[in-house]
Amino acid sequence: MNTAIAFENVGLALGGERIYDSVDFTVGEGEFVCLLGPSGCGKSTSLRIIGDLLRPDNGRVLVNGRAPAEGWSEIAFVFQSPRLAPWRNALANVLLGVELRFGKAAARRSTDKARELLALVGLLDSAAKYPLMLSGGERQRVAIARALAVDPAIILFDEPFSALDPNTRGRLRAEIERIWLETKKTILFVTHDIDEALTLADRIVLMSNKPTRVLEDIRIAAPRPRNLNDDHALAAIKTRLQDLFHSLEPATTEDSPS
Amino acid sequence: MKRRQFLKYAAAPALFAAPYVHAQAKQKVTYAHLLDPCYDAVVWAIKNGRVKSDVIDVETTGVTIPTLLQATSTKQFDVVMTAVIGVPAAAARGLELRILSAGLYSSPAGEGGGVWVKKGSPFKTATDLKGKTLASYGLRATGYMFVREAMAKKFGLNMALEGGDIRQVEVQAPNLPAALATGQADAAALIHSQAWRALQTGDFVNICETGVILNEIHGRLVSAVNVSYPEKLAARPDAFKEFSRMLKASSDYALANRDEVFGAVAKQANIDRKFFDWWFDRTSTVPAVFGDAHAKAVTTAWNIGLAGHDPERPRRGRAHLGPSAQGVTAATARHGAAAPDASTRTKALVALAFAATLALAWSLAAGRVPPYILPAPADVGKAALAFFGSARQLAHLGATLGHIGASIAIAFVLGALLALLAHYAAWSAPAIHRRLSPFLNAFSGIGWTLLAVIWFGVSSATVVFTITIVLLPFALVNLREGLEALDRELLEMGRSFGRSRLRHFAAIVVPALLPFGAATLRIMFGVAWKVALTAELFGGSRGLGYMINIARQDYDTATIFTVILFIILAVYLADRLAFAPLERYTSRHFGRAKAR
Repeated sequence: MNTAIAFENVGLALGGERIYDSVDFTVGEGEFVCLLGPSGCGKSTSLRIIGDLLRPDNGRVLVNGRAPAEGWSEIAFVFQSPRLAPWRNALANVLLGVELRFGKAAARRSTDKARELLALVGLLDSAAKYPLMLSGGERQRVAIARALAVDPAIILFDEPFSALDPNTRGRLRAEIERIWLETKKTILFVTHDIDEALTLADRIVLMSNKPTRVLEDIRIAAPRPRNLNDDHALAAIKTRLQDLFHSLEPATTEDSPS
Repeated sequence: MKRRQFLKYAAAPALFAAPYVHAQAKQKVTYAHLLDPCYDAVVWAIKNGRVKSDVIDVETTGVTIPTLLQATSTKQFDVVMTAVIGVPAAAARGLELRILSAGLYSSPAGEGGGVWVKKGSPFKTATDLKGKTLASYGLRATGYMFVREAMAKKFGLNMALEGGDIRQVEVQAPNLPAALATGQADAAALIHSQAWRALQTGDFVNICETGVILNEIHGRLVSAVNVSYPEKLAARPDAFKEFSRMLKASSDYALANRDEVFGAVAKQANIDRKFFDWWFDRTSTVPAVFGDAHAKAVTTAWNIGLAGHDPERPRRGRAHLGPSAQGVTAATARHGAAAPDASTRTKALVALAFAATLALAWSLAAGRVPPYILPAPADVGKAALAFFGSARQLAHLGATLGHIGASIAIAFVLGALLALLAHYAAWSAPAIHRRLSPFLNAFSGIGWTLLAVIWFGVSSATVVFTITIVLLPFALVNLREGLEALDRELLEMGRSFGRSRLRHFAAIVVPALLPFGAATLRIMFGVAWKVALTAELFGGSRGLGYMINIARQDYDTATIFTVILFIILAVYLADRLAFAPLERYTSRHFGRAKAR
């Protein structure tokens, strides 16, 4: 398997605080990797570094073998909040990413494809609706379609479901899994939800508190779709992750923060 | 002759029937309030027909704090929610305000104010912050003045903005939590929803409950008041009384029907409903009346402002503020007292009787004095007909419209360029916002006219120059506000998709600025008319101002009346029919209806 993303000995300080001392991990091409860790440990920061929205102080980051400054165009983001333009309807929001990356002409040519993607996320009927008329889950679906519309090799998800209610979250997880199986994109997915990581990931990269390092790199071989309650191997991993979380967040009493 | 006679009698019944016509056509009272979900909840019942009136229609608009302050001086709205500390300052500069009610009155719990640090920070009390950096959303804001007062009184800190114990910096409100989190600031003053989110997440700790401290030292404080203007109040006292009643009723309605109001606003503003319970119960109350307690609290706030913690400010302020502030307090107390209620019909009758008396008095007076002092209504009607029948006079009207259009266009483009320069080239910001903007604001239109006459002679160039330079700071300040209000998350999203600055600007920045552009145009249009007449009078060779100047020399007061009536009508209609709808549309479509 080729390496899509490589994080080698990356160090970062922001405003005098050490965020990373030395962080190493890789994501293979077509792989679904979850970055898991407690809140505020710098998971989202790593996505920003990969997407060239932030430069690390030392170490090396490669996106398909290139520096982020060159490789950013192979990447699309799905953020924690949908970040839709309120003045554009769903279809125009899907096309916004294309317009920003390839220009207006390309966006015009992509209308049919944008409709297909809206259909893929189940929103074809809502193409003309404005963000205000969509639910939180629907908005995040539009954001996912917007990311797919630029046909990226890699999609970076930054806790995309954390603001949604549990039912919607579950449905969208299943949808992401389906889309990933269909498109075979490389996905790096940040979450602090252990169940989410166990449901989705080929591999879980567990991060520590600041200054952050990689604690564990766990391969999840269980077949999909997964049922966390029935699978003993998954249950064992879950228990181990929960214990690790406890040691990371002494003040927290919940098993699975969300 | 016969026909005219007939018309005269035919008009009589219509005159007597008029009260009922007037009762049906409701007056409008416009109200500008703080742009914040909490205040959306306060006016929700008015906006959604739960609080109604037979007498007036209320049109509410949420605008940002700088725009509120600006609107206070442009008198764009009938009632404006404005900073307490601005009232004596306005009086000192000749802007007479009358306080109708208290808009924000700190809650007995005193929450929502304070100095926050990151969780686990070594700074445990305010004194630990000596030599450290404290970030604020606005160094000159009333709320932040209270924070400084609390820290000075309770901990004996020297809170002067320059040369004090603590380094104080201004950070745009949305960036305060990030500044704290990344250590760019050691502490920060958070308010409203930010303080609430800080409480919710637990990522930050409040080390100095300034609201609680101020409650102990000074009692509860008023930070914002709803004001109007003496002339507006005098013109429609009943309308304003009715407005005050409705605002109070709307505020009461929100508290009595929390599920309905808070639920609706929470959904609309995309914020957790609990924020409203916390805000109304623990941080602020909305009295919507003005009692003795509020008057006392306002005076206290003014005194805090006078004492200042700035070595430089009070010296300048005290000389003006003392007597004026007292004057305002007295006036305030009178207006705050509830006036007796009259029935709607009586009010309409009184209004009509007043108008009729005035018209009659005008006619009678016009009969007794020469028309160059006061033309009769009929003369003005004739002059108006002549005005619209005369190519020469219509050409003057066209010239004025041209001056105004050109000035607005130039000022808008220049203001936009300067605001963009300051925004994207940080090195230029101090020069533009701290030097150029106050400089332009400070100098009067008539002064510019006189200078421009020296430079450009009496010409259209002089007129356009003068109007432009008066309008420029309005464009600059408003568009700066728009640029600072840009949604950082949306911008980052844009950058993640493409690096072309041009596409980014066209697809994200420009649309997001449209509401501010519309508001800018609206304000500029109103101001432009006021300046245009003066500029043309002294520096123009064409236009209505020039026409007035000539008419004046001809003792043609009827034409002056005509021009005045026309301007009143044109500005009013353009504002109602074009600019207000444009502003509403852009802010609805491009504005704060944020889908996040």
